[in-house]
Amino acid sequence: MLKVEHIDAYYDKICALHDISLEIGDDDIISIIGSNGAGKSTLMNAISGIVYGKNGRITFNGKNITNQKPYITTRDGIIQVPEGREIFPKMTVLENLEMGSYSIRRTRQGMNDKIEEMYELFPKLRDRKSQKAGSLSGGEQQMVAIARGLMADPKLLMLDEPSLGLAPVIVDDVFHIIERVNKEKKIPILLVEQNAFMALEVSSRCYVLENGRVVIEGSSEELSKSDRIVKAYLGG
Amino acid sequence: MEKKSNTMNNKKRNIILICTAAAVVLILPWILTTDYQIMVMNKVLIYTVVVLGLNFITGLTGQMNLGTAGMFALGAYATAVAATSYGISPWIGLVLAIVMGLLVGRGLGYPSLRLKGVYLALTTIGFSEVVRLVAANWVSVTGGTTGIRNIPYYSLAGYVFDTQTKMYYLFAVFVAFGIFCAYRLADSKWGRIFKSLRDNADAVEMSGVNIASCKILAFTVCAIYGCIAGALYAHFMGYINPSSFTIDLSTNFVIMLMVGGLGSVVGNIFGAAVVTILPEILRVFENYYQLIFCTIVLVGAIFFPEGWMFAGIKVIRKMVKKLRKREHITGEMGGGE
Repeated sequence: MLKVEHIDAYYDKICALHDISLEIGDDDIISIIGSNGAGKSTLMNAISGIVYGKNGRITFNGKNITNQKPYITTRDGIIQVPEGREIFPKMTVLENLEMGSYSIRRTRQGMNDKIEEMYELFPKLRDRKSQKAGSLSGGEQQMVAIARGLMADPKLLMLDEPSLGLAPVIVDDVFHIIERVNKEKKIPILLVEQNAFMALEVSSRCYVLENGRVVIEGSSEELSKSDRIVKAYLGG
Repeated sequence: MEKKSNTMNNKKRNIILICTAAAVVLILPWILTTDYQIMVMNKVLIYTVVVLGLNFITGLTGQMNLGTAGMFALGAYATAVAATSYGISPWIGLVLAIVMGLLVGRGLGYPSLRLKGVYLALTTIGFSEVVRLVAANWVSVTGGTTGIRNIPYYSLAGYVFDTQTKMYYLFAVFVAFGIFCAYRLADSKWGRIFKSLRDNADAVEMSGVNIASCKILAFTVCAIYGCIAGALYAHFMGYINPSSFTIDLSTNFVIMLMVGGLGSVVGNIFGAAVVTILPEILRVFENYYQLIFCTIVLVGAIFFPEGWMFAGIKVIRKMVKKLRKREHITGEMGGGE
């Protein structure tokens, strides 16, 4: 459904992405792994339109979305959950969720149903709904961020380092939720991660980025056995 | 069920509050003895309109705007020139002022997309100074530094609002309408986005919001409020000149906003009232009154950054809680016996 073909992206004159191509199918979880500065987040930002890509083409369900304004890409159904839990710290959890639905017209009832759906997926958020989101723990904030993304009825959910700065137990929780979202809601997910182990475990296909280039791609199962990956990313 | 009765109670409380506020506003001219006091109240009302607008941009979206004097001046000059040079009715002048606000807001909104913090503040100061200098030097239209005299009062079907008390009621209607609109806007989808822009602009973009048009909208609302207030001011004073629209006026508006607490509509009214009335009260200190006023504002900024009113409410809430606790304890002891 999402096709990235030969994209380059620059920050001023510095090339951050070089000839990247990737594809996401209808019910997939695709992961992108790589070290700091490999261009993972840039790739995601290029898809959502925050960073302008040069050359190449990005199409979503047949529509050309290359260099489209971010708010239009969001309306097309590509929802990015940004890195580092970019929530609204001074707004309540409930308000955060409502903000997620901005691009969609809902009736009061429809909104309540959708929020109820989120509470079922993230039961902790129900208890916290009238708290300021900034007062939540890191894991809970990540849940708010993901739930806010889901509020927009995404056709493709892009998660940027959901495990960043979380305790290992919480990371397990978050990845469990990611799998559930994919299976229960049938939403394809593009996952950018530094935590290669978890990323390979949940995803079906994986791309490895190094210095702005895709160096390896393949099914996650194969990759997690490949010597190169084990050495460089899994600490084996 | 509990939630429902809660919102019912809130509604009841709001209606009672609105009724008391309306009653106070209606009775005030009878309590105030001199024309001078009512004139001060009129200033409070006019400034409230400006601060209500400023609240959208500095209070809600968190962008510093030090150019409100410029907006105020444009509104004032638009209607004053129309009324004195062309004999156009002040009501049409008001429409002109609104159009002026629309244009200015759009124009000023664009730089706000690229500039942040201090740079935006400087740009708005620049805008305000440009307006003032044009007003001072474009003698054929604005009368230059001598200003415009004999601006007519508002009149409605032959009834002229020519005394301070009459103007007071007229302006009160304007303010009420302004408050109504401000509340509706702040409570709407837009209001929430304005608030979230202050919190985390990146995340707003990822929620599918066109940030550019939102920021411009906030500026436009602010400019329209500012220009309407300027128009009211022109017909209230009957005389305007460029020296009233300096940066001092802009900073005063920001102080009003700060004293009332950023983001709160009730706070806006409170702030406009305090900053306008307090210096008048402090006049008993003669030469030192500005010094004392500024000290009070500074101390307030350090100790009550969320606004004086909210600091007061907090203290009262704490006291009520303490009292209740005490009652609770004594009540329990009574039950034990």
